[in-house]
Amino acid sequence: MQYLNVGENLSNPICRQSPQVTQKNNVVVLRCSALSRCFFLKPRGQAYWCLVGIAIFSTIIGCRDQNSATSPNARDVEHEGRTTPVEISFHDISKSSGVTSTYRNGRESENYSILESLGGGTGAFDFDRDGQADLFFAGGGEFVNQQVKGLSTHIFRNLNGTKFTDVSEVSHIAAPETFTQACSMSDYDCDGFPDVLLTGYSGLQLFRNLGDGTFAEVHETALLLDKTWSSSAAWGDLNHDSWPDLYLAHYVNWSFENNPVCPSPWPKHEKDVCPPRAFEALKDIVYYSRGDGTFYDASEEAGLRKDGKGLGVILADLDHDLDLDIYVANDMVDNFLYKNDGKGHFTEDALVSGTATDFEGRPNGSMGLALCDYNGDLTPDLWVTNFEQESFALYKNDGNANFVHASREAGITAIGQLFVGFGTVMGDLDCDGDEDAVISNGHVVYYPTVAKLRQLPLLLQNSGDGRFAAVTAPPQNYFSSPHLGRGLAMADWNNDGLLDLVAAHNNEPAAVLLNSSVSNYPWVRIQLVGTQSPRDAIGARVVLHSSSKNQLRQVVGGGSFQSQNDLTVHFGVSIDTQVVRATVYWPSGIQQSVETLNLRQTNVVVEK
Amino acid sequence: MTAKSITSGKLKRRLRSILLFVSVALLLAWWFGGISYWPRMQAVQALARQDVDTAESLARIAIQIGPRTSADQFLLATIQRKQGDLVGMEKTLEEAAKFGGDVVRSVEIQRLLAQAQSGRLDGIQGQLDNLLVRGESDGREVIEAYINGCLAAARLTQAATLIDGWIDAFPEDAQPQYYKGRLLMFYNKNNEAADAFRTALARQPKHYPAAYLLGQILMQENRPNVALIQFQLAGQMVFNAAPRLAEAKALRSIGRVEEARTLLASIVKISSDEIRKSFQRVGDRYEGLPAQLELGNLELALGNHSQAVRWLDLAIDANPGDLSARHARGIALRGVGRNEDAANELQRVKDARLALREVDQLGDLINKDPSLVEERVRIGELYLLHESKLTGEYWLKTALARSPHHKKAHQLLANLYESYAAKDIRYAQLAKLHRQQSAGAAE
Repeated sequence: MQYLNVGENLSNPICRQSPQVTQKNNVVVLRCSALSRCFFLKPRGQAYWCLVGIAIFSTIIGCRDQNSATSPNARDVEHEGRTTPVEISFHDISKSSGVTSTYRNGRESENYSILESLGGGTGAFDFDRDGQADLFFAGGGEFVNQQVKGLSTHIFRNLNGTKFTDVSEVSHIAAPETFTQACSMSDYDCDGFPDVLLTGYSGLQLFRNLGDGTFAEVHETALLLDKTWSSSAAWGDLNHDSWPDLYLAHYVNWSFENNPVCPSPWPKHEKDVCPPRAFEALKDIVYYSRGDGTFYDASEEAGLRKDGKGLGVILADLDHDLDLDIYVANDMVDNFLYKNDGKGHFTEDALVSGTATDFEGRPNGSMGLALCDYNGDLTPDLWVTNFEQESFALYKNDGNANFVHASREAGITAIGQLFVGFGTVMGDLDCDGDEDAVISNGHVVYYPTVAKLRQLPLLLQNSGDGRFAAVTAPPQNYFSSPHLGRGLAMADWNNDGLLDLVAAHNNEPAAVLLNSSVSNYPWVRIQLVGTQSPRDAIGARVVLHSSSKNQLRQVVGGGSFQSQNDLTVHFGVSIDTQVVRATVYWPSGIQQSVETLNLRQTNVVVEK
Repeated sequence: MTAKSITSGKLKRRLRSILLFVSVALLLAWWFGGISYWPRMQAVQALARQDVDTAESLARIAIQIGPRTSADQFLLATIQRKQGDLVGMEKTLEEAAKFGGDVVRSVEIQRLLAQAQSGRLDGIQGQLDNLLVRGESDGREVIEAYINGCLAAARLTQAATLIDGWIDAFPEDAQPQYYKGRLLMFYNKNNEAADAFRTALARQPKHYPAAYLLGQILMQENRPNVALIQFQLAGQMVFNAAPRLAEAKALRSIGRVEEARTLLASIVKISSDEIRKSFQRVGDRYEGLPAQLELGNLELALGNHSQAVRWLDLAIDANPGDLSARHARGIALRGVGRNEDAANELQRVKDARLALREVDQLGDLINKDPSLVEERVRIGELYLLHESKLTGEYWLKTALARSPHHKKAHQLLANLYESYAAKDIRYAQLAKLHRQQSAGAAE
């Protein structure tokens, strides 16, 4: 696999081209300077012949200029690029892994409904607590006689890091009740076993993990009674009572009764999926836990807005005040940033925080989210995937949750193509001490005009200086094949210290991707177990102190697009670095120093 | 008499003969236009690649060193017309008329083409069609002025037909490919537009406007490293502020921030007239002070908030409707601790964007039925009110292209041009024209 290093590519093709251009320039310069020199020649006879010579030469050159074969052909120039050696690579083990799951969005019925465009999520979580991350896939649905029907979800147990087995039936989690979209995992009852929430059209499903490899669907007893179309979800203790609460993003008010016909921009196609502006927004909902396994709608209490067309949500402590803030990716309207007062009351501050829009103040079609510290300044930055002809947004945290749109400076506007970005993760994929990015891409309409329907997934490598470069994969690789990408999640399936991926697609089998990068860098994984904080420790901040630098990670709720990452935090460490210690900032307010960390291992840290 | 003096005498005679021969040759060359041939040919070649400023310099040299002929004057007038310098064109045509002979019709044609390219096509389309059919003038010149007029008047379908006709008639020409690319950009068909620009460049490697617009598409495709090459090619133009500004943006995107800053610092020193000419030459548009805006954005991204505010204040003074500049200023004000001002500025941007949401709904209606006029006028009005006078003007023109006597569209355009009249007297004439049309529509 070879990657296109923007920094290299900038100078070298131009350096190689510049002499040609410059050479041509030189001809012009030569003509002018020689011409002027002629006038100063003595005796004047020489000046005359000089002028005649220049005139002949210039005429020849002038004629050549018009049809010059040496002028760089635009296409040739564009395709000239310099590649540098591979550093990150992934191996698609889907076929051998035993994972067989295909998200169905009902496109075969040709309803051109916006419900089809969202697709489904995937999750990485260790449901059986055997120390290996397992896999979950939303199933989607179909349209039968103008009715929305759900299809089976799938859960795969991790056997040895590369082999999985489908336990959907035996775990009692497969039964389709709704057209599912997202999966979000959390130990909502703090019993030590992660539970599964499914969002989707016409309602929620909450599968409580019984700890014996089976689940029980409990959304009614939990009073999660929302019946509106929900997209992404995120768990986290928003009101500081030590119990995980639930934020639900909602999209638009589509139904078969509200399914307008929208024309395709292509004359040969009569219609296409309508844009989100053709529908009314559905308001997001936040459910606060009562601590007894039930929830109540706290949207008013929390101060949520009633607009927005939410597709992605992430819960994280953005201003380091030890409470969870909320960031919501909305489609074609301003994104939301809710700052927490520490008691579960929020102030929506995206506009002034600089995260509502792009750098022109224009709302984007935002889908996927990730938290990162891409520049290593120990403040959490926000990463947002957007629609085609909009830059993916990297919001650099200037402190106190005030952000600056930094995509151009970070090389994000130099990634080489247009994408409709959905699921996304940030992690140190090459264990070199900085966070890289992966984006799953694919269009939302039937007949796109700008970017393609199926799109390449994108792997962006952090160069360590705050800039990213797109990695170019070899042929036959997952990253060199176009997909209708949607959900994306990250975990270390085989516990080798390299972060692996799982990607869900529309109407195409999911992909399990094993990180096969050759990295000699040590790594550290830290699994946090809250005692005074919620057991999942969402919102906890970990700073790894080493002799070379400090690194920041945070356990976040939600993120990516309708998907769930493993909650274990992962650090790559420089090979010559002596890891000194880590500091954990728990949501409870406890600051805990961890003096002994084992390299190349998962370290369990219990709050105390 | 010594041998030396004999030799010297022969040498002198020989030199005199050579001098005489050369003088006669030069006189004959001048008389038959031979001396001015080279600059004239170079001017024609520069014109062919749309490098109108180089063409102008060379045409003036040809006029100065050659015998005074109406042909050189008409060449200069054509160049001036393409530069949009209609006052200069008139003066040159007056000079050409002094040569007498059969120049009256040629002067008429130049004036007709000038009117056509400005978009005032009503009443002259028949004459233009006749010119094309009869071959009375250079067909390329006629069709180009006609296309420019259609583009200026937002008659895009008509422009497309003309461009296709030009490509059919002269398949090897670069210029119709350039216009095809511009038109496709209007329709957001960037892939096809890029192909057209590449074709233009393959046929005319120094077609700077095609290189510039190809670069803009490449920037939109997140390919600044290859866009940079196109901008550097286009930067060889005489008035190169637009490609250099684009080059600075590309440099910034690929991480060469200091180079971008240096380049921008040089562009802000360029006169507004030269910047206007540069954008006009590459077929692009701009409002306000684009270099100051970019410099403000750059300083903001680097965390130099007070510097950013300084540049952005200048940009907003020049173009108060620039929401991009206002958003950046809001963030920069927050950076210098002026939180209340920041919130107000950002809220202003938000309010404007909310108001502009109506544009999307109207656009959906127009997509379904392109003949809608009221919706176009409303979009124009919204843009004039909230963001961009240029975009507002464009939409009003699209309305007038479908309904030439639309009262409100004329009123809004008259108001717009009156607001420009203090800076440029030509806008006063345009304002008067639209005011009259508006009154006529009322009657």
